[in-house]
Amino acid sequence: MEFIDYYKILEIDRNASADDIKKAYRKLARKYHPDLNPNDKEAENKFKQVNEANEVLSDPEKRKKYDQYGQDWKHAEEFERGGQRQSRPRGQQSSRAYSGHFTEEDFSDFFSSMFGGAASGGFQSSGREGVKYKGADYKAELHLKLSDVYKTHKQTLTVGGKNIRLTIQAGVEDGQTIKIKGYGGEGINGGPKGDLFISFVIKNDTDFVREGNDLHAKVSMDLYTAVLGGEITVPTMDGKVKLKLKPGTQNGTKVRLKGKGFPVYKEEGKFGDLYVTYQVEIPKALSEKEKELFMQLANIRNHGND
Amino acid sequence: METTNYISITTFCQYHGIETNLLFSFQELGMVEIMEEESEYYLEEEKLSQLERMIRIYKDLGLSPEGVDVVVGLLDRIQDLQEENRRLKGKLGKLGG
Repeated sequence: MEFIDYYKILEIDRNASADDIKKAYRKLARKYHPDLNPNDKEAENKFKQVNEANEVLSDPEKRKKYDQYGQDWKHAEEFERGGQRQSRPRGQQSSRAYSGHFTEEDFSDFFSSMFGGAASGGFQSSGREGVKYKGADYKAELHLKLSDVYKTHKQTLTVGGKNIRLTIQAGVEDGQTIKIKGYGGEGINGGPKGDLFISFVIKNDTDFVREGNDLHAKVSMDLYTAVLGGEITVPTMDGKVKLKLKPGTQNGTKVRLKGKGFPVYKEEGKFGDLYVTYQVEIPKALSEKEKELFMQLANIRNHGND
Repeated sequence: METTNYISITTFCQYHGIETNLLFSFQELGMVEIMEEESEYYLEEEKLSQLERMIRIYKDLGLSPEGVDVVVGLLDRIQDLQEENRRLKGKLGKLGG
């Protein structure tokens, strides 16, 4: 195992202050940073060395150990014996791209035997070794129309390059979120994958107002039907229905059509109700003849049939 | 139908060991877009690698967010130039051959 002169790597002398070390590290990091030297293997290796040197020299305890030992390197048998790990073959460079996280592999054997493996504090990957983290949860929005979610249907989503065939149950609500386990980000250090959360954004493309599983609608009718009774046609989500009207139906009357509302989420065959509010249209812009007849009606109402 | 994946900035910052304030500084400089929904903040997944590069440059080089912005802009320009250079060399090769 070769002795590594960290002071030489950082181009500083042995008496360098903590501030000098920091400055030297910053300067060399700027020079060799892999992001500034893309596809440059040599710069990447230099950057690793600079990081390793900084890892040791910027930590007072490590620096002390290194200084004591470094001076005496030639008589380092004791240290060699103490080194628990076998040195790996030289030149076995990892070829993966720089990801911003160094692991044990990125440090030299010299570092490993002296400090027992990867960084233990201070450096960015520190403490993360061996700790399993669940991958990040993903969040996606699925935009649907209200008429789409009246019936259960399937949709294929592409999330993170993977196709997910999703059954969208009838009756999902606006803002409702479902969790799809294991479709989130990759776990860290072998941790489980994150989950995918899909929120439904449902736009109402119908004339109904949805309140939970119930629907509300307003239906207009003319004055004569309201007064004399008759039949009107009312639209529902699954077709039109005919309703009988009693004579003397009042404006604002609300009727409930049982089971003609929205499907209940995950309860097949169960539906909410449809509430229909009648709106009686009062005739406007009357002709002379109509006016005369309405006056006659009014007289009859007020003075009796004379 | 398009779906976009969002990563909460809390998760992102925990993973990278950074303060969320840094992301908001980047946002102020127009370097990153942060979405807000139900009082949580999210990043678009496909923008993460760009953002991670900024964070590496910020942490490893000790630059200010403004400095990172300049560096990233220059790096992108270099990359464009290298790409153009590569294409032109290819053309020259064809002419010569």
